[in-house]
Amino acid sequence: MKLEFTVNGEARSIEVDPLRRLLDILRDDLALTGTKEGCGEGECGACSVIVEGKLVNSCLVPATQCAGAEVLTVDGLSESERGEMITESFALMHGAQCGFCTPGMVMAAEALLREQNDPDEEAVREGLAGNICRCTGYDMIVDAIQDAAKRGKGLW
Amino acid sequence: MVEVLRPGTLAEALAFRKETAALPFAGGTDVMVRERGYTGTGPRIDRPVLFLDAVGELRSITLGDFAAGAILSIGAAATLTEIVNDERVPEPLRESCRLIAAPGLRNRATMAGNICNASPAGDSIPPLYVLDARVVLAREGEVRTVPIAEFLTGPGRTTLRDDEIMIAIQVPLDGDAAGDGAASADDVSAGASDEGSAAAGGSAASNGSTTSDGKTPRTVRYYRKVGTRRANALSKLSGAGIARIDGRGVVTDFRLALGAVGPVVVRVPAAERLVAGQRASEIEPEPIVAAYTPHIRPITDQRSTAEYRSHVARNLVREFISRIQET
Repeated sequence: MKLEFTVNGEARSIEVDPLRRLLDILRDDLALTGTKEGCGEGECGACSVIVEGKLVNSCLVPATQCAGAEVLTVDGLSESERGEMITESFALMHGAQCGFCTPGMVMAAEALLREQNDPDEEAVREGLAGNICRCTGYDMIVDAIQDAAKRGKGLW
Repeated sequence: MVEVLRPGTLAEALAFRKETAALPFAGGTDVMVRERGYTGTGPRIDRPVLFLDAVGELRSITLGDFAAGAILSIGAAATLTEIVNDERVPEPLRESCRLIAAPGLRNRATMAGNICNASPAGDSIPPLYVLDARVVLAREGEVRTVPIAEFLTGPGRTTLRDDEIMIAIQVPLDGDAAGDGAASADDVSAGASDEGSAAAGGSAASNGSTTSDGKTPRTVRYYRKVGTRRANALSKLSGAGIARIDGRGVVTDFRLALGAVGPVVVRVPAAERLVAGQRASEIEPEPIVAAYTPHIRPITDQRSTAEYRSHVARNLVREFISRIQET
């Protein structure tokens, strides 16, 4: 099928299998390798992206359901003021260890902050509930997101 | 390459389903995992696929008044996030959806998918049993409405025909149920309890309105999911209950459904009748537990053992009764 959609603000048109996973389209067809594949079955959140304003696991979304959609990946987000703020907070608060889960965590943080711009710890943990950190550095990740909310007041 | 269709209208969807017996695909969060291929490849689906997420008629949650009372109709393509955010959805159904998976999955997954997947551990199903919900199934030229307990016939098995799709779930909101549905989230003491790692979440809510004689009839709503983690946990078992207590403290209605303790969700009318008519404060739990025991027949699988499930299922009966007695 011919898939026409918007990725990180740019209109894209590519020929793909209708069941091809959004994750593979992003990484292999569009060379947007910020999005990672962890489990491939919706358990780990490493492949999290935002589609039509909603956080989703890109490993579970086939091409057909992306037709006409607006997709934001960590590659696009990190070039925005909000993305820079979250990235900086992850660095300041030591929120990244091996870093593999970080792109998914950053996308979950963006989705959360859009809904709640000053989340308490419980809300942050709920917002990150679908993202697993193999290094188990959760406390620092929670700190990073609350730090981004605080320093980035007005951005969300 | 398989044939796919992502129609915008129900009529197109039904025509394609009839013509091809295509796999109905709503949120895809179960299908994509079940049919998963190797890393870097798409799912291995060898039949036509009918995507339902763009069918406008299936997306809404609407309240209707019928002769039998108000009924909330949840469109088959409404996502769990939309259901959780809708205050008209009655407890314990709304709470069960809130505890399914995690935000990113709830943004795609649907309740209709949870039902049609027909897992004995499907989390929205026990609440649908206690709410006496019905599913609406459509094929070209025919719509039928089926009680949830008649739709689900075993693990992975339903009475959905090859040319049908589920279009909605109907949840009756009788008087106080509607009141509960509209109540604020504060009424639900939600979230996980800390009774060891096995308790993934539990809640009970009650509300009532004062009658003319000053007594307060009340409704107790119970839900507990038992799993290994708070998020993304498939249930070991679960329980959902509703009890109504009148102004004299007498239980007038008692309903309890247990999930993942048998091939289908268990409700035991004989046990429910044992409780009805008793004063809440005088219920002896053990005879009630005994009435449930022969119907609790779980299996051992990768998530839990039959022994553990049996033991905890009986504890859920006791817990629901204690919630009735404490409020």
